[in-house]
Amino acid sequence: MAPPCKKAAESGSRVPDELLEDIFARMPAKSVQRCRCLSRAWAAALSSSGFIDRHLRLANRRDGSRSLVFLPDPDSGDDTTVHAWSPRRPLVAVRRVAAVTRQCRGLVVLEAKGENLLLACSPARGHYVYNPSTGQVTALPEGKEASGAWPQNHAILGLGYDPSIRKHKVVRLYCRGELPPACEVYVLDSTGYWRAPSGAARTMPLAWATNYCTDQSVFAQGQVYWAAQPHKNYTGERVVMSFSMADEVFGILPPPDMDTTNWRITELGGRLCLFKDISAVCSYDIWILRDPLTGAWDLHCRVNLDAASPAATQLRCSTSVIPLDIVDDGNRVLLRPEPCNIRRENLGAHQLVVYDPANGDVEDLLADGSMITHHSMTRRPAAPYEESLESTGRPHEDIIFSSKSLQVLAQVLRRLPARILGRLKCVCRTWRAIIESGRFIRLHYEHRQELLCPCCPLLHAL
Amino acid sequence: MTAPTMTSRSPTSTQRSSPRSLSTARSTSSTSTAAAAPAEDLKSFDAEFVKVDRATLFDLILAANYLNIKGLLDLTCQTVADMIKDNTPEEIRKIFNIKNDFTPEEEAEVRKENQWAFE
Repeated sequence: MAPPCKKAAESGSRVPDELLEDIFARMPAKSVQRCRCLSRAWAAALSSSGFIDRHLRLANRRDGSRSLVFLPDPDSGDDTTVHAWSPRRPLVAVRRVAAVTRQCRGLVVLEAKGENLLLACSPARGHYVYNPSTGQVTALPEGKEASGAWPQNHAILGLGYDPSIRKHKVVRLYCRGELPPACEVYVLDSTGYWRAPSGAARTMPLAWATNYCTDQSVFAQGQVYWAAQPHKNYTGERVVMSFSMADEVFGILPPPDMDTTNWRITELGGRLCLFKDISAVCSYDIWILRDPLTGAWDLHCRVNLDAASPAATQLRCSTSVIPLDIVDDGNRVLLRPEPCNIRRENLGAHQLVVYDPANGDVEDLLADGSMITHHSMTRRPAAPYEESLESTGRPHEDIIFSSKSLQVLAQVLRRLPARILGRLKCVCRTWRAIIESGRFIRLHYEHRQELLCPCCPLLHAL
Repeated sequence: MTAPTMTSRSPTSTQRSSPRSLSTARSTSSTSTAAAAPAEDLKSFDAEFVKVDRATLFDLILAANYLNIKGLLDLTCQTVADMIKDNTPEEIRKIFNIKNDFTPEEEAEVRKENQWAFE
């Protein structure tokens, strides 16, 4: 009789590679990254786009429900530092980050707020694309300056995925003072600079997005969605503004017929979801967009807050109730009621309940304390979490300077004075991206310094 | 369900695991015609079913793949994934008998590209 360890080794080697790939596709992203070091063949197989798609599907649906993550709150003093990790670069800490979009195939856009906590109205420091399951972070290039009174001096970003080119796109909406808002698009790992949307028509935002500080942008059914206002002064009925990832055109979706204009959007079960704010309404509605083309909404469930049901009692004590996920094969909804006052010593502050629309039952998931493993989790809101191996793309300057011909061009252009470079920015987008990049500005400055050295009698006027 | 004809590739494992997996297939298919068993009962049945040694688990995977039983394949693959997710690459190579064909420089580069996973 063979010893047990030898028997296990023999049987393990008989597992064919396609089944082994199935097993790897069910592991968390961090474990898959370690398995890329097994052999050359596995390094290639576990980095292919087909495997990444398969991993996204298999690693995230366990028993039909998704994982949740407990988020830190930057305003409460929690440490929200992420360490910016890119291949072949030193580790950099990015502090005071907040997510401005929901996860799209695992990726999320972060905004890093400046160190000065008092100047809440000053523009944010920078935006990054981040994959929390692999830890990779890539900085987005600076977009055009947003101008106007707060909050219009902050650009609003959305993240989506275009399956036809298999790339993520970041959409940036920004205000230009008295002019209507404008839009630019950055395709991850593509050209390295922002460009105008490529749609044939309706490539300017049709409304003023009101997301800043209130909501994240949502990607569902091929479109990126924001809550928006038709007019600059935030008057008029709010609408949902959409931007198609494939066509790059804007659209407007009116909200469903409700008795209130206080609503928010999120993603539920892969579709756009709209839910009411709790204050001063008699029922809590959750609507789901059935069809983006026709704009038809389905009422998923409604809780009558005036009734004496346990659900109504539970929800009435909250300021807002956010649907997180549909569980149990579509039968029940996971809700996150946000309490009116969050006090640090109140351990029951954040809640997670599962609501059954069929019989009105409410199950409190945090009641027996078995889900909480660390005391700090009770003060933090939960959100759905997606494991993913998607890359956040190369840094934009690496993309621009990756081609030999553009490196040669940069060496030529650095010898020109600044006023001529100003004209040459109009040649094409690539030339402008090179001239405005930090790397080129340093090259140009170094060249100026070489010219001004004492041994050289000529001083060029800049 | 009649026993399928065996191929010459891995008769031993299929012979050893077939009775166990066939009886599971019968029990799960019979519940679909009668009233469905409660979800918790099925879940605990599944959890007990995979509490076996690693060699048997691999045999179950091969049998489920050969007999094309998707539910069993999902369950066993997920179980193995959970078992090995914290192992180092050396341990995984030993379990699945994978040959390390990297040169030392190549391996260092792959580790650097995925450095966050090793922290």
